[in-house]
Amino acid sequence: MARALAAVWPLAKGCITGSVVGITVADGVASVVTMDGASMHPTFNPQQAERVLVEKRCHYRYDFSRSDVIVFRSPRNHRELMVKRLIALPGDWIQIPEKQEIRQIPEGHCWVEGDNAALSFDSRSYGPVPMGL
Amino acid sequence: MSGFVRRLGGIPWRSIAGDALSRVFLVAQAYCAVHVVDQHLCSLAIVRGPSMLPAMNLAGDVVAVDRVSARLGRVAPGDVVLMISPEDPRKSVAKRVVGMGGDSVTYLVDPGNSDASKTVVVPQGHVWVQGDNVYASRDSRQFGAVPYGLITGKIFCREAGAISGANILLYAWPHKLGHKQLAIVKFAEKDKVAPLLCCCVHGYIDVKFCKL
Repeated sequence: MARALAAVWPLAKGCITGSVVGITVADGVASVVTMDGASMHPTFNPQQAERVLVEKRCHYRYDFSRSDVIVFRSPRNHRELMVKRLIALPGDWIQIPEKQEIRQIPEGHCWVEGDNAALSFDSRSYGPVPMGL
Repeated sequence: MSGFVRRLGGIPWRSIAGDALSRVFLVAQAYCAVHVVDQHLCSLAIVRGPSMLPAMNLAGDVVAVDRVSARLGRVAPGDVVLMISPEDPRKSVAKRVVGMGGDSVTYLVDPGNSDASKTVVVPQGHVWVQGDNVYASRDSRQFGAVPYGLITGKIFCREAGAISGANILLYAWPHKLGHKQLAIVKFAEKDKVAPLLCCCVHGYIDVKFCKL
């Protein structure tokens, strides 16, 4: 029993170390996300499940710019990730063509839209998204 | 001059570089371990401000934050949660959850001046948070229901007066063969709140390395 444990322990230690370092890198530097859904066509093709590299260093300074493609947790379901394009930053005024209204984005929020306007479930449905997501 | 060069050549640069590299790896692994525990398992935080009186102190309280149950979705009305402020993503605020998605919440609009109250239905995937001190709290009554994804942890334990009790010790002493970083947070017993005895954050110690 002790010998089996001694044989397995270096492997287990390596796995734990590797996973801890991997989680830290995925949280702080960059991670990979698989795309699903057609809301960003033609930027991301829905037929091939594309893998995208997501950069996480922006969380430290929150210096996003307009027309960045961003990944965020859905406001409707915190377990889902959504990929959309950032259209407007806090304090901007935007015009929504369908509803003929002009809105100002509140502090700490941003307006996101998918490239494929017809098939995209985005800020036109659920409003400005808090930047914390 | 040539004696100096000869002495320079005699120093075992390779083994020193090897030693230095392994120590750097040790520190990096320790940092990664601390980061994972802090972000995904359990963490300590200091909360201050008047919005959660009398549950939390005005001057500051040390609280323990449970990140696992928030990630799993096990937050219920009545829990105090730590969340990213919807008004400023760099700030974290602590508030109490009053309603989950689908609930109907009645709240006082302006408790200091009038008795008017409003009832809203919380949208799916959102929570309604309010500070315990309704007179001095910026919460869902001002910025609306908060998406669940902004919640970073559930507060499950606090120690009153830990800041003024002056018992936060941070040890980082260079051991002869390696570094061990230990954060011991000692609490004074107050208010019948069970003291958290010890919260140790260990660096990863490689046994082979220490035997040198």
